[in-house]
Amino acid sequence: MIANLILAVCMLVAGSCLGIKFSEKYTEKFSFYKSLCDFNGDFMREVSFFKNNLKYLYCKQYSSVPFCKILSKKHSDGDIKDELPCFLNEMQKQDVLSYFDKIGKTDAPLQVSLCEGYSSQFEKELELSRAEMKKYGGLYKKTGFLIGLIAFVILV
Amino acid sequence: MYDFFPPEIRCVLLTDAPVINELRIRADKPVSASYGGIYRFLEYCGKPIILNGGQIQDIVFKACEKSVYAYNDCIKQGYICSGGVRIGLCGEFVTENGVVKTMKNYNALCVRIPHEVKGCALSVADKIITAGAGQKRYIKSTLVISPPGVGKTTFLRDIARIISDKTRENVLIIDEKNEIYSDKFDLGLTTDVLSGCDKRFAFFSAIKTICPGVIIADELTCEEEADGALFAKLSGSAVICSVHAQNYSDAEKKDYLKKAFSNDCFELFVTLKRERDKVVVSEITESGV
Repeated sequence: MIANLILAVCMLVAGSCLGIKFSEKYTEKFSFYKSLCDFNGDFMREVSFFKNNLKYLYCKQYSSVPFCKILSKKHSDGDIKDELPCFLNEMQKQDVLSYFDKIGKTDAPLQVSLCEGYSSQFEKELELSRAEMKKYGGLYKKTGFLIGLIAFVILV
Repeated sequence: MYDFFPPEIRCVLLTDAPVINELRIRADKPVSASYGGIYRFLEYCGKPIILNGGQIQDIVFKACEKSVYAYNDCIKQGYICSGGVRIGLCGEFVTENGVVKTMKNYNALCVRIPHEVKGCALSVADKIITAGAGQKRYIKSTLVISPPGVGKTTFLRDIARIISDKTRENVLIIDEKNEIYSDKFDLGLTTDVLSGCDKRFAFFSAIKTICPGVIIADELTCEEEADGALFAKLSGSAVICSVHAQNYSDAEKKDYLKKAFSNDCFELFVTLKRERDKVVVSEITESGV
């Protein structure tokens, strides 16, 4: 009986953990786009005001770990292709690649208009990822907990 | 400091940087370096180093720290300064309605390798720093004269350090091209640096806000800059500037310096020349003598 109870609790915890794990993809994607939007904003500020170079920005910390890995790779002049997170689809990956390929290469007015163009695109992606996170993130968590609970009831 | 160069040039600089004054990089031609004024082609593994146009564009982009927007104002004037290394650019100017927008298709670079030669200004320091009223030392406003590439900047760097160390006077360096200051150089404990701004503006701004005892600026090139120096001198600061000329009499003939000369902006004129790999003082002229 005690063994069953322990197993049931384990199943409940495992179900919840799985739910959280599956929902992480959506949380990370949201965090990634949030960081990208913040970076784009910081970059625009640098281009139009302080004019610090990109290496300074690449050293800054943002909330998304995969995004910080991309910045770190750029800082060391590496290829960021391998650092693109798997939760982005091919088109989103291309957008991120072309963004990092274009920044820094022209004068301030052109860079500002480039960033403004990307800003609306990234904001849109941020909103989409926020909606996905709310919808699917919650769904995965609830489903995981529910499966764990069903297993718990069956075992107990 | 030299991260923007290809590995073969970096390798040469690793050993020879202290004795190289200048690098000349031309597309599809051997890279040459000035060893104390004598140009030699650089070799790596027994072969001359030859860079193509693409590699030159790459050097420029890397020297801009991959941030052209931060350097375009300098590029428009034909140079970049990165970590104290000044790179003169040769290429195609891009203009719109007669206004220079940027430069492209770089085909040659003239790279100045900065040096710190402690003591190179010591021989004239006693002439510049003289006894003043009471305990205070008096610093004579000085114009340093020499042709390009002799070592004016190195000399100014050293005189800043000496004045700061000997007098504890507030020294301000106006470093328009970001080539005098580098964190690797000792400029003295009481030296401040105003960098990246136009000298014409910097003299006026410095007098109003920083109250320097001595202002040091490199290469006066136009009347507004000379006027700025005169304004600083008449406001009570000593000014130590440099100018491109062969000697005092050539400098005196420059139109844009006439107002500064006639108003005794400078009390001392130091002419420099290069002897092998050393900067030496060839002539000292006092104002009115």
